[in-house]
Amino acid sequence: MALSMDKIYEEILRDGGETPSKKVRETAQRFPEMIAMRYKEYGLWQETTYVDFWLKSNYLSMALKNFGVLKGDSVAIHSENRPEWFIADIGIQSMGFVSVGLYPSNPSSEVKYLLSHSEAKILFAEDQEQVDKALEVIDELPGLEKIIYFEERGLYNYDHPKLMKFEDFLEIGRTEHENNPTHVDEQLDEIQDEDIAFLVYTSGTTGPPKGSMISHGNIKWVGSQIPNFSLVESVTATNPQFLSYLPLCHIFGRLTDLLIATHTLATINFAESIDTVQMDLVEIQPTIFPAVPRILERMHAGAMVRMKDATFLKKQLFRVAMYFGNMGAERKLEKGFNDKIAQIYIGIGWLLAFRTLKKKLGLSKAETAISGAAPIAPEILKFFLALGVPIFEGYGMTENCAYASGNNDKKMKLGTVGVPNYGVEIKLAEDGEILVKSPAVFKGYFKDEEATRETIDEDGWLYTGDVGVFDGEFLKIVDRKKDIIITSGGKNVSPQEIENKIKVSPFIKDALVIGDNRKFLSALIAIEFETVSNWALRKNIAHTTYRDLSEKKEVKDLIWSEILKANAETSTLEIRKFQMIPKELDHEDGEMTATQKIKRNVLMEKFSSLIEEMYS
Amino acid sequence: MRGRPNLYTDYQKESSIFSNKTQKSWFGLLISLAIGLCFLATDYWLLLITTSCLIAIASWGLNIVSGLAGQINLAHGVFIGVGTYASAVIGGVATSSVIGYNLDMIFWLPVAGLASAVVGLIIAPITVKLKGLNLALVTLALVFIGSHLFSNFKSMTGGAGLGRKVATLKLFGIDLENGLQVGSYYLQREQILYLFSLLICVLAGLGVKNLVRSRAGRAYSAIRDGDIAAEALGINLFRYKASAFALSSFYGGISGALFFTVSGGVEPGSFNLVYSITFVAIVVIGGAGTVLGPLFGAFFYTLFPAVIQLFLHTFDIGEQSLPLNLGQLERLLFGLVIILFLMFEPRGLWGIWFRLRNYFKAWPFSY
Repeated sequence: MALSMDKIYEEILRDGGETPSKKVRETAQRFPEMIAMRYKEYGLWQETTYVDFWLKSNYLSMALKNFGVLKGDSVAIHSENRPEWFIADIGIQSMGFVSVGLYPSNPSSEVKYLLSHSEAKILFAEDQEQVDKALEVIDELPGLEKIIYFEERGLYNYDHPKLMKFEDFLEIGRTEHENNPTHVDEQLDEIQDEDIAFLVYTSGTTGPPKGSMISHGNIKWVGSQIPNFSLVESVTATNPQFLSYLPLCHIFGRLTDLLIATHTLATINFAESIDTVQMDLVEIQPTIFPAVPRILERMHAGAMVRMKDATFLKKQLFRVAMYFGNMGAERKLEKGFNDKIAQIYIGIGWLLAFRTLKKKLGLSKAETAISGAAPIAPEILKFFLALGVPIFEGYGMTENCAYASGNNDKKMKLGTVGVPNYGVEIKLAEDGEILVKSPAVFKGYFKDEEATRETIDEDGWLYTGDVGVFDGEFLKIVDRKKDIIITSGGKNVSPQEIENKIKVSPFIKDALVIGDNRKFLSALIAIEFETVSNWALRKNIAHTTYRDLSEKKEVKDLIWSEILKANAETSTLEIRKFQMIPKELDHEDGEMTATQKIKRNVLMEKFSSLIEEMYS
Repeated sequence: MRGRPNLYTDYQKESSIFSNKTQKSWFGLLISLAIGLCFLATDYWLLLITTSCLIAIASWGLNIVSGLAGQINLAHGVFIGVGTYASAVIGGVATSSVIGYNLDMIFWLPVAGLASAVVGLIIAPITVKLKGLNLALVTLALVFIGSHLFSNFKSMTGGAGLGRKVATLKLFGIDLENGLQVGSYYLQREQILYLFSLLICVLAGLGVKNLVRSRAGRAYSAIRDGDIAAEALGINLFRYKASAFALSSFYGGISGALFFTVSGGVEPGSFNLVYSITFVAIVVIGGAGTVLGPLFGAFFYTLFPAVIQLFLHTFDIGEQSLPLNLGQLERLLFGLVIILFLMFEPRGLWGIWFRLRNYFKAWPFSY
């Protein structure tokens, strides 16, 4: 029934890529009963077929039209990943409306900014929490005409005139659709490549978020590159399974879960929440696993901590398995992925421990995985390669649809972000800044001509703001241009590089390296509460809160020994002092972006007294 | 979805008897092995396994009322007795001293179960009212009443010390007492009994497995874990406690009817207190409240003496050189085993099996 991957690639190479809306329509016609989405409710994975998906998104399109949304108008979605997110997104895009995603963790001040800046007419809000955020600022948003909510719980007593239930909204659309069944199709066919498909607001480590305009042409072109894309080119299973847990308002989640999944006739399974990703992975055992370093680090740390509690025999066997796995991984990196001896080494590890370990990590069916959105420690990648799950680190950003460079099974080098993707030109500016040119480069920032001009030059080169070097043909990211530290001794240091070495430790969640205009380097450390707490329990160290634990002398000693390990690995300067961050970093407190990246300037200011203490 | 055993899209699949392919294939393999054994094992071992299967059925019965529903029952032997005599009267041959209608097995087997179930229901008003120690005492009293009645209804039971012959093996009019010619192969009586017991045992086991996942099974567990809480959940205590007793007796009756056909005769003294307590011991050793536990317990109980004998025989230790005779030794060791289990593995043989299984399931971790 379903198409084989070879056939799918053949078709894409022949006919080119498509926008997700057109792909969903196509699949709904060719394989109407194919499962498009699964969402866990009452302990069961409830399924939605492609034909239902398409119909519901049509109803949504018609309802939006009914409420006066015109082509080019913005419609916002503020929700965790769930089928309604996709239905809304496809419904919005297939009429030429512009979809704007908001992070579920955005506080109401940011909600206000994003809704007013994007001029959204309709807001899809997940539940009471998100509805409350919008209602708090609704008086300042005259352009917002309706708030549609997915979950009614807690909202029964709300009687704001702009509120409406998702089902009621779809019902309106259904009537409209029955009166005019071809309207959505006609509108979809009229969409031009230059039309804006969605706005992606950069999480903004500095300044207010900027809305990147991604056009239908951009995503269509990325779609056409899928047969050559490192994440999917080697996949063979038909009807691949995805686990959708990366935020969909981020370009990485959109690229993998929406664009690649619709092109590969996949089923998208929605994780229940970010905390259950590990359990959901075990149930779904995805075929293609797009990941961010945070998740991979957690999987690695979790496995290592549990291994410490294993019985003696199991520990020894795991050690042997790891030994062979590492040899296999090294050989693969050196001699290529088809090296027979490497496969035998990894096979031994598979027999001893990795078969079941992979099952428990949810990777037993994973044919390929990618790590993106932030730099990852090579040690973590090597660990997964030893298990037999190659994770290809890639590089991209919102402004180029997250499609710039990546490792693949033919060309892989740990510590680099691989070679330029098919169809992408990459060069370095004189100051080392990475410049990217491809049809995936965005149209510009919404309502911000100046920033657009600063980012794209007349020849179409995108200034990424990242400094890189070429290691042979492999691109290596040094750091964000503005983050590079120059010590008072005049040495250039990339804090990110050192931070990543430190973050290899399962006990350290985040690190912030300081040293600009200072005599030596120091660091602020945030511990991984779960693993450190586990460690402390085994050492009989009584503790209560995060703060209490991180201020224990034993814990400080532990962290210092971990930093010394990282120091031994670094070629540049070493960390001389460190301080513990006394609280868990949080998006809502403004210390992190919605994508869990630390905001340097905020932290430096907030914990300036801690920093000064180290240098006095 | 292939290779994704934990991805459930409907409740039927999630609560099915065999939730994955591995379980299905292990079950199939075990059944084929058991059938193969019929043609490979000696009569002695065949008889032991037949006995084990039948004791397992009775133990499952006790497990329903005690393990699942949490009601102490020290009178399981009486219910087994009722089944035995009901089948003997319906399926046995009449003599000058006892009555018997010599009917087909198709009648006497269900009647044996139903008769026990009816007795279970009759005493339900008493057993349902009581719990804990009081219930234990009442069921203890039942054992004495049962023993008295069995000894004195001479027309049915033959009376104490004498006993009677039990139901004859006759199915669909075919007399199986002297074996059966199937094509060119001759099935002996022992083999027929073995296969038949195996069949009933498998059906009974699947029945319990099914019960556990049913509404009644969940109600039983709720009552076991706290009857007041269960009542607050809307569970009708009388109905479910009574049905647990009835179902438990039904299993006992079926087992009793078949068990004594193996030897051919039964004496009322068999159904004494020790007999009833033995089943409690089997359930505890096997693992109360589990599906596989009573099966493990029954095999352990039956094969334990045989293994001791095999051990003595292998090392050529004569009975004379021991300070105790074989029967005493067996009982002594069996008692010791019960004590050890209660001390070190209260979940019984099933607990050992559970830990063993988890050791490999959790690989390469320990939890």
